[in-house]
Amino acid sequence: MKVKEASFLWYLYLDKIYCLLSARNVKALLEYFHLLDVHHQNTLNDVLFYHFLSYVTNLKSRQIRMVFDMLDYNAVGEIGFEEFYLLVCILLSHQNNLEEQFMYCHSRHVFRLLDINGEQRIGPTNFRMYRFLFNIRKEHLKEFFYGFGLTDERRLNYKEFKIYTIFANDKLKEKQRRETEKQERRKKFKSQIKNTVYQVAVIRRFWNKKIGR
Amino acid sequence: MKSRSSAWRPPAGRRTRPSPFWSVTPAFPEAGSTWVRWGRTMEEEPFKASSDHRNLGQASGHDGLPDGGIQATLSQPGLSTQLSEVRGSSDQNHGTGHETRGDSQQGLLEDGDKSISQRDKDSSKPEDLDQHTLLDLEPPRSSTQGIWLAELDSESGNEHFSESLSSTLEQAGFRLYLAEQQKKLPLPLRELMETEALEILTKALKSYRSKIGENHFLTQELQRSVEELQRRKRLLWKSQ
Repeated sequence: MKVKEASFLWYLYLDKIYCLLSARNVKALLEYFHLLDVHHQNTLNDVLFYHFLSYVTNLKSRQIRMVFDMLDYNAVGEIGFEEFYLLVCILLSHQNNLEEQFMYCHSRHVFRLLDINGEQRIGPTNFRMYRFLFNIRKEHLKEFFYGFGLTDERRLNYKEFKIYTIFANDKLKEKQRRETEKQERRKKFKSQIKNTVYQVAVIRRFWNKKIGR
Repeated sequence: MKSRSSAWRPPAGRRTRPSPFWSVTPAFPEAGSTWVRWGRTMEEEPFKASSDHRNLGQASGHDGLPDGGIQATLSQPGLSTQLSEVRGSSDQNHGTGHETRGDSQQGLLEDGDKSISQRDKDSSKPEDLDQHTLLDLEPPRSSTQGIWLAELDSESGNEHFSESLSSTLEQAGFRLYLAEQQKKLPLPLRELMETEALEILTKALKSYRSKIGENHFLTQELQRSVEELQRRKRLLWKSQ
């Protein structure tokens, strides 16, 4: 899932620590919401929502309908600004590869979104359904379940889900740290090669001069 | 499509849930209040204006751009402070003027309160006021103004006075511009939003027409909005 480049959402800035927009961004987003709210109900119905999401992202129709059902928590067929704002934060965190950070910061909200049946428990089915949005990795889930001695079909309550988000966030940070170290090693290696090449060139020039005499 | 007139049924097995979102949406302030920063690039490079104003507005304690009212009261002490700075430290670098202005502004607010109350008490004897306190006050409208101006002429010179006046006028104009901008979104952003909304709503209008027909009141509402946006776009193009 990608946010369309140079669209309005693409220009919004998501804070990397709290995974939320600033007040100014929210103000701009509210203006945008009011432009789309043509019926002046402070809501978007499913048609407007569908066309909005199909314009700003590359999601398929089935996925857009799933997102709408997920956000329409009270089943009225419309979504308000709060849900719209949360959706924008989710889209931007996905765009910026901050899904794990977002789930960690807003685990309660994500849990309630994934718990579409209101059973206070979510399982691998829920994770699989919304993987395109939250990027919940299969291998992470398996590792998590294995680490806690749980079976794959185990359904998590909120506390267990919270622990999973901490676990996933730690994994992400470890991955980022390894990548930074790798990049630093590459840089160091490149600079070493450059130095060596330079020294060889200097020695050659000196040698040629000597021979030339 | 689910119209307002027909009842919408949730998918089978769906239960309503308590709202998960009440704590996520920030209680953003009313229009015209502090703008922090916005935009992908502008988050890294805040407004130059806001950085200038941050120095002026630091004394007010606001994080972003302060209200125009506060700016108005600060402007006069700012003018007087500039003059005192010039008088006091003529060999100071111009680049540090902003910082010193900012620091002295902070002290000024405290002094300003004192000096205003003092002015109320000693309104009959303005000449007895301390020279520093005189500078802290808003420019007096009566005889003391002549004294104040005379002092300026004698000590700082006409050049500095005219410079500071012109800068005050610029600041006043700029403040009005900023106060207006605080309430409105920037024009390029507004244009981008309206263009995008127009495209989305045009497609939605086609869906409305195909699903519920052209004569439905929802279709007509949407059509009116689309026409309004098209009209605004045409006006914008004409003005450019």
